[in-house]
Amino acid sequence: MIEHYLQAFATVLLPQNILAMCLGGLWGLLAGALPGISTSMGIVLLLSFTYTLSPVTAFCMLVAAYCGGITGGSITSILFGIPGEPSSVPTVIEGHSLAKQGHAAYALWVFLICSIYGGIFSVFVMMAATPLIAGFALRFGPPEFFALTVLGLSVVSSLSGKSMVKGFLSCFFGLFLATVGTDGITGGERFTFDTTILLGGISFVVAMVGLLAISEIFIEAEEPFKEYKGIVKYKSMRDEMPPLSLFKSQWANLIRSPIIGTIVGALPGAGATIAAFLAYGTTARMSKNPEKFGKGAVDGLMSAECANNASTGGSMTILLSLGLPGSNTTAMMIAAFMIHGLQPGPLLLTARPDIVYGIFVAMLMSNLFLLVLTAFVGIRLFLELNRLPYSIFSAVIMILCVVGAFGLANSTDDLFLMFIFGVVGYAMMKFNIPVAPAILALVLGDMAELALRRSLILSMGDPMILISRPISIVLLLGAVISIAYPLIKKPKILQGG
Amino acid sequence: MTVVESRKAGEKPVAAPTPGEAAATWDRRRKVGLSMLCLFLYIVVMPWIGFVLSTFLFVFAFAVSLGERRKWVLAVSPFLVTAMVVAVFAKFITIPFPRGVGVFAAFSRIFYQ
Repeated sequence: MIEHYLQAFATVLLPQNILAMCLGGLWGLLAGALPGISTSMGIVLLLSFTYTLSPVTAFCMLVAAYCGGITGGSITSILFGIPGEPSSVPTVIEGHSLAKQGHAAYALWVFLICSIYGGIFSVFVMMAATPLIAGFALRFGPPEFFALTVLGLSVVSSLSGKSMVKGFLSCFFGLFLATVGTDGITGGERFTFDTTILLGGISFVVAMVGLLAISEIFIEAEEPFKEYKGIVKYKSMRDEMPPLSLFKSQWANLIRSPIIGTIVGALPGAGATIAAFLAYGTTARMSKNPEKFGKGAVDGLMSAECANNASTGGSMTILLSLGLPGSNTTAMMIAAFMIHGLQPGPLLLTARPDIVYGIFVAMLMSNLFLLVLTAFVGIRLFLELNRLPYSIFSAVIMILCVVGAFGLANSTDDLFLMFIFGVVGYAMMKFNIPVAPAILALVLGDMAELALRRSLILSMGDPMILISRPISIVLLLGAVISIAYPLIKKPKILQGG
Repeated sequence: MTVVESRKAGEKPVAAPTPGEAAATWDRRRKVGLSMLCLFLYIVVMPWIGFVLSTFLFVFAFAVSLGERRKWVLAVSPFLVTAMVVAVFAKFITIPFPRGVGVFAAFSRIFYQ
């Protein structure tokens, strides 16, 4: 095995592969940061460039873009409050609050360090525990998936800020949206109003772009005219380096969050988004001052960032060991394997160890390169955007959202949906209904419903299957606790509203 | 529990908005309404006049509705933004944007096939 690693290092550190990783990383950062382009779309767009490259070089580029995408989503989240990725939503909540308080550089440092730490942590886990994680994830049947989604959605309760009722309102709205379209199991149409537009359901990219980005622009349209988008006061990066003591005091958080991220990333169908929310919610739950969440809690930011980057390693582990996609983006990577005539799965490790170990090393190096790229190029690039006239900046974001929503299915109908979500999101924000739960519910709703119905089919209609298996009991208990706990700690929560 | 307790605490009467405040609110609502209208029209009109032209008009209209008055910004940005977006997305990534109908389709074909 050692000689495999040596070989892999020698290959990955060739100039063309280093270049590939840098270019892929930059592209990933950009794709992640722009709300109209998801990381999955970014990978797909990159695929066509990798046809003519050697497999190792191609994967260097792709994994760098993957890691870059998850990282990039947070830059615009912190600086502008616009999440480039659903996994950056907790970062928007905490990081942008910090930025508005004048600590943008501090938030950026914390995000960067935690992201790379989470990424590298998961790479080591990937290297060491590939067979172990695969075995665990295989035991997840439909009831466990349902329990996992219930847990994820109940994490909503701690993200709702002041009002849990509004949070659940948003969550159920999202679940309702998830039912629109064609029934996954019976094929019947639901809520489609006899049009073809909604037959495929509501794509979560369209909803996310509308609810978060478009509505944010509408909200900001209310502000008095600003020449330049300079709301974020930005001291030089050197001034606001976080002290080592911050990381020392958060040691439990820094162990817990990447673990959560890696495991959640490893679960097929659950990716960076759930990882970020779960880690964020767990930290919020365990924190001694929960009321500061939503207003710039550094530990929340750290958890979310560690976890969402850590999910990359988990997802890649499942991809490499089982050939199953651990997340949306990894599903696109399967295409990359096919293009180069490789079959992802258990046999790959023995048949082509150079590829597998090469990917391990490429992910490690990509994370390190990303640290440098983001710190010196990425952040500066986005800060230059501050110089743009603000009205043009908003127009560009709108156009990017339109392009993103359109490009998904080449459909102008999606654009109307996006507009409606923009208006709905604006209304929600005006009424202080949090938008994040709705988005998470939309993402999870499909999976939850399929899992529930498959479980019931498995058990011939007996609902007890949902609580009769050990893993699902544990997860459901977690969900119950996360809902009940804030209610029991009533006095503090009531003071907020 | 919370609802009951807040009712017990009693509703505090909210003062009616002063004319100054009312005007400011109306102004803000108007800005938001205008920007929503711009986006809506952009989406509606795109299949008819094509992506290039509608983006160009959108940049201009949106900037104006947000309150941008600087002449140089309004003059230069639509060209720059449209050029960049078309270059990156239509040429580089080849997303098949709507080309528009009739004469507009011919216009779009100047930029991309």
